[in-house]
Amino acid sequence: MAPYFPVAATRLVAAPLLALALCIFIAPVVWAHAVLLETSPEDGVRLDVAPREAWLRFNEPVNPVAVRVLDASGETVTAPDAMASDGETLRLALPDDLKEGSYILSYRVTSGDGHPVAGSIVFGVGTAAGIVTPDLTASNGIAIAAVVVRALHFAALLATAGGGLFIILVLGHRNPVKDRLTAALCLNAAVAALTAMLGIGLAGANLQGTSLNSLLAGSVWQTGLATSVGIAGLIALCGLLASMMGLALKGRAGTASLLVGALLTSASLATTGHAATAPPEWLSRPLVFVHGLMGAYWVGSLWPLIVVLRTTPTAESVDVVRRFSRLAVAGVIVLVIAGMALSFIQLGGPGAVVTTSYGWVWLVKISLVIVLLVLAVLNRQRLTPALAEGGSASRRHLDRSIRAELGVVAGIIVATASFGLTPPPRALLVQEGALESHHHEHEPDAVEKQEGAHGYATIVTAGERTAIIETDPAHLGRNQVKAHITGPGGSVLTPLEVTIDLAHPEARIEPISRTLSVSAQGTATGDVDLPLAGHWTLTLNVLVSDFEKVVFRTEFVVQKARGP
Amino acid sequence: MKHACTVALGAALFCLAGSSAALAHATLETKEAPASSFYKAVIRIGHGCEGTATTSIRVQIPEGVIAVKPMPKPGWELTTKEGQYAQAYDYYDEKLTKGVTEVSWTGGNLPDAWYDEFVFRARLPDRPPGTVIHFPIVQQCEKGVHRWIEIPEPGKTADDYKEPAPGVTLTAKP
Repeated sequence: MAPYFPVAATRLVAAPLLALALCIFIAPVVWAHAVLLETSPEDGVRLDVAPREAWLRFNEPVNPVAVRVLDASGETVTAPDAMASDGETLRLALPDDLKEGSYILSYRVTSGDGHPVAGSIVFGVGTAAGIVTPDLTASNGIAIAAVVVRALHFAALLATAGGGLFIILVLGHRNPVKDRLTAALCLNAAVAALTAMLGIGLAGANLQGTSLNSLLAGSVWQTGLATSVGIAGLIALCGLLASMMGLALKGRAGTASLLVGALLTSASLATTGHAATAPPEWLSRPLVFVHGLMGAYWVGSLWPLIVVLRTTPTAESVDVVRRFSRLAVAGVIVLVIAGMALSFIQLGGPGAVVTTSYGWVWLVKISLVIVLLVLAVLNRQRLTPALAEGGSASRRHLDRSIRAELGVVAGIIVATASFGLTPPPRALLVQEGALESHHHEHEPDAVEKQEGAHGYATIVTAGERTAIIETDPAHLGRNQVKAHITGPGGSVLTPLEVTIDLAHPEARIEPISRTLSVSAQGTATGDVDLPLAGHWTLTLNVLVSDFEKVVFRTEFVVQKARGP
Repeated sequence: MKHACTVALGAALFCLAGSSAALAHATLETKEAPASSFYKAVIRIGHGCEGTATTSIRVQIPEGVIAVKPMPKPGWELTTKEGQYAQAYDYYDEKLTKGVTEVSWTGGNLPDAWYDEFVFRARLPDRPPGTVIHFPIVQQCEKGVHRWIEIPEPGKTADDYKEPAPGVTLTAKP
């Protein structure tokens, strides 16, 4: 203490002062381990309005080490200085623009005795805690963009391939009209190629669950290329190249090239998508190929027919139209049969038509196809003979009719492209009720993989005891954890109490704790909402007796499950 | 004399300071003792559960610790549970095959704001120096329970756990 005091006074005063000082010094340290008494929002709650502030109330003042709120994608939404200490309560200011979704409040504090107290609570704004359709706006944007791009792609692809077929089968290579068509067909081919490439990027973005901005980065393109959409795009590009070459070349080489182009583009349609990957694949893929080829012939001939009507004299144009019509009848019959077969495979039966969203899209498409068939019959039976009889009026009527057909075809293509948004009923049957999205971008054997990819199960041993731990379905949102513990020799253990701690080391959030309920048979089950995808560690604390606790540790991966 | 008082006071306070960090858990006052020696186990209860008062303390006597005699406490009902030892132990002229395996102080009320100690005497086993003997303790409160029963896995210490069982480290036999 102070050396300036007289020595005697020091001894009189110093001792009690020293004692007092030490008491004051020590007293705070004698406090117990801090305990979290209350939180706002509460753990697992669903709020209708985004809160402005979150707070944690402990039984004693604590020192915050790391307190933050993360959203469902693992991003921290609170500012580093948003935390304020108010005695025993820690207050965290939340941003004003908290969107709908799940959030995790992860806290780590030290109590007066230096021991850390840490944990995580989950809460949902506008949705149930942990039940996440990850960034719904972004995934919707991607899905809609994918449909638009796919529709444009189909239209341009079919127009190019069909135009080539029209030239080969109906016009003949030496026909001068071909030159007029070349420019338009090349434009179509360019659009088809561009949309094919864009479709690959969108497929990658859809798989990664990111927003449209991610198209600027490289990773979504790599992901997309690895899918069947990527392969289909490459095949389509080859076909388009062949078609363009066919337009440039003359004679038999040109014809062959155009034919190869048409076949390749139809093949690209059979490489990806719900319809092409429906089991049995040996049936569905050729059906899609044939359906696409016949569709290309029809769709791709409409614009050339308009051009022919405009530029060639009536007699010749009647000839062309008749030739087209003859082949079209056979083509349409094959088209419709292939379409019916595919519909049956996808829908499974007439019941699914009105009960599923896929069925509704199918209904729209079929209605438009019927309208188209009516128009085609009208053309063939009434307008073409009228054209043969002469008169510019009849030419105008036929022209308008074909333009109407073009409009209906556009609607049909959009409906076909929209199939990718909904899971076909056959996939729903496979999933045993658990609705999971079934996107256009799946690998060809995705259906087989999915039948087994439902949840996670593992066996962990600790000493003489074994635990079988199951997490179902190991996707974002509500998961059920089930544990079955056995003692030495396989005897079933009925624990007194079972709790689980789930931590996400990568996101650096503190463990989420849940208590499982123990059944009479010794199985412990409980629900937990997991709002982040990725690697989770699970610690299973089993109270075997009053005095013995066994700890089992395991890890599992939570996958993103995208909503329809 | 005043000088000695100061020193003594300071020393006592320093002892308190040094051990205060562990006052948050249920702990043993003496953390080291020679093997095979008679050990006075002082269980220190520094707090209740979730702010409520402690109503019972139960200690499980681990295998190897024999001749356990608990100290009664006014206001608390003291009971012991006997059981078979895994092997016979030499105790003076006898061979002990059974003895106290669990000690319970129940029916009491220790408010969260107060501190108390629960004492028993036992003979520690003859094991190599450095071995830690853990005493799992279940602390029952008005609201909630603390189970100081976590025994550190090899490679970890009590600091790595939320509710570690207090332990005494054996030193060499005298």
